[in-house]
Amino acid sequence: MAVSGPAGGANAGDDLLASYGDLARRAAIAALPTRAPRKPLYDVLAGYLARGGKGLRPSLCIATCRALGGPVEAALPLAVSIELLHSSLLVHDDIEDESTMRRGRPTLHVEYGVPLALNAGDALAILAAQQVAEAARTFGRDGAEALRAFHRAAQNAVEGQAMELGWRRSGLEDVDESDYMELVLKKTAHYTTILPLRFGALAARGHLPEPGSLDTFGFYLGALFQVRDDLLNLWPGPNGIGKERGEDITEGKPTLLTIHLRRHIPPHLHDRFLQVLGCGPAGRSDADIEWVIRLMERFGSRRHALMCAAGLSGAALASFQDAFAGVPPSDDLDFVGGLVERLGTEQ
Amino acid sequence: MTTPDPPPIAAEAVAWVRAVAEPIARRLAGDHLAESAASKGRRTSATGAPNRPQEGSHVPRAKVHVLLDLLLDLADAATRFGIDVAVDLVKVGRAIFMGATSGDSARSAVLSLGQAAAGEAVSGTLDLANTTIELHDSVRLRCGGLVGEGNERIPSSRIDVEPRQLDVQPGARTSVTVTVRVPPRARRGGYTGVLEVVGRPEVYALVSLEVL
Repeated sequence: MAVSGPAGGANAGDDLLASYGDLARRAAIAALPTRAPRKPLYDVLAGYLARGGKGLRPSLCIATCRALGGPVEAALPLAVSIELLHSSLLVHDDIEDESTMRRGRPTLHVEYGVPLALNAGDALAILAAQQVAEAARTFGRDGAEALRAFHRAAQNAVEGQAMELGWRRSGLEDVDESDYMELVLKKTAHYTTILPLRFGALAARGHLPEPGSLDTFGFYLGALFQVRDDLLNLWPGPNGIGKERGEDITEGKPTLLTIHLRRHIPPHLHDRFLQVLGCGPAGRSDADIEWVIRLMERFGSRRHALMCAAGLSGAALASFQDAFAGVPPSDDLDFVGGLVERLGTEQ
Repeated sequence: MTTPDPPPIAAEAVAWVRAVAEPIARRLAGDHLAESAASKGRRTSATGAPNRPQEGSHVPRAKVHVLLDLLLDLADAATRFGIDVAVDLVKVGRAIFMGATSGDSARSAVLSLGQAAAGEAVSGTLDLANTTIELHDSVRLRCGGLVGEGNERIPSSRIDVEPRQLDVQPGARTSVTVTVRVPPRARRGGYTGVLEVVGRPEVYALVSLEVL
């Protein structure tokens, strides 16, 4: 008998995302040590984790586990480790980018100062690794695989960040779209989608998709997520973005939009564009940002990014079907596959 | 009346993926095979020394071809009908499901019971629907308890599911009431658990509660 979850579409997916995300967030806060130092460390971490966010990464981990027949409890510690790693990277990224807003509130270094924020980010990374190590003990032989997957994702994330910081210093000179996709794989896909999918499959410990096909799906889904994030930074949806519009421009970030415009902008506008690109928060001007956004619309950069997102959606759908072939229908499987539609239509 | 040509976005998008993204996806899958070979080598080496990964491992050609064929099919469908058609490909049929009927989460698999103080009882209602032409008889429901912060638990003995066993006629929808009797000494905070059909773990609903 074919069985599936409710035909709730986006609403059911929203509920599942909210529920799993909330579960992982609460579990992450519960996993914090209860000893001192509280005020300068663990209270800071608890407050930061409680800010929320969509919880996409832990939700993908839990939903993958459930879709493959595993229980929530098996995936939860791994989902928590992903959320802690993500939070750690965000805290440090915000310092490196001099960002002022995160999840609708001041960034941690703005609220508490750089020294406390740096230390908090370190603590989150250590706690994330501890979570994986503790969970791995219960996985038998797969425990080593869980540790390898975590370290691979974390290492790729910091390598990707280093690549991006280096390119930003050079004003994106000689950076093309293939370089950008390599960056997306390292900085975003490895820990945002590939790791949650792998962790979910490991936690299920039953019918496991072929890991190569799971990674392929994770890459396309992660790339779609990043392109959509790049678009939302300049053309926010109705829910806003929780940070300042156009930060990607003032930070000089490589995106499909900035790379495309750099290649297609007429020579007489080139110098001014480079001045705005990467000017940092001190040189930020809303008028300059609006000017760049208009250029991106005029010279087809936005259309190009949307086209790329459509292509990545198709590739993600095809690889999803490949990775999850033969898996019985369920709400969780709908949620995992539905992420393609969700990310592909939110621009 | 003539139908306007759809925008040529699909073919262009597929070409872009093939040129820019697919080489990375292929390498990633190949990396996994090499990693897997190395891992197996470490496990099976008779000498105890780790084996070297196989050089030049690649994703099987057949798998790449299947992926390319699917992409071409998607491109063709998207060119004719728009990209939404591709999205429909992953939508699947359904037979029996649970969905909340109370609160804001109607027809979802999440039952939010709202807030309750320690010692109080709180209830919510779910639908169990059978959209097949078969009778689903003796369907039994189970909730293993709710878990909160710091591994705080509300045990299954404090959770009543009524009816706990039921028959669902073809095409019928039956209401199920979940009542949680919050223990007098329960700690404040959020609690979450799973209500599932015994023997059918894919049919379930999440149950959440905030203890004040």
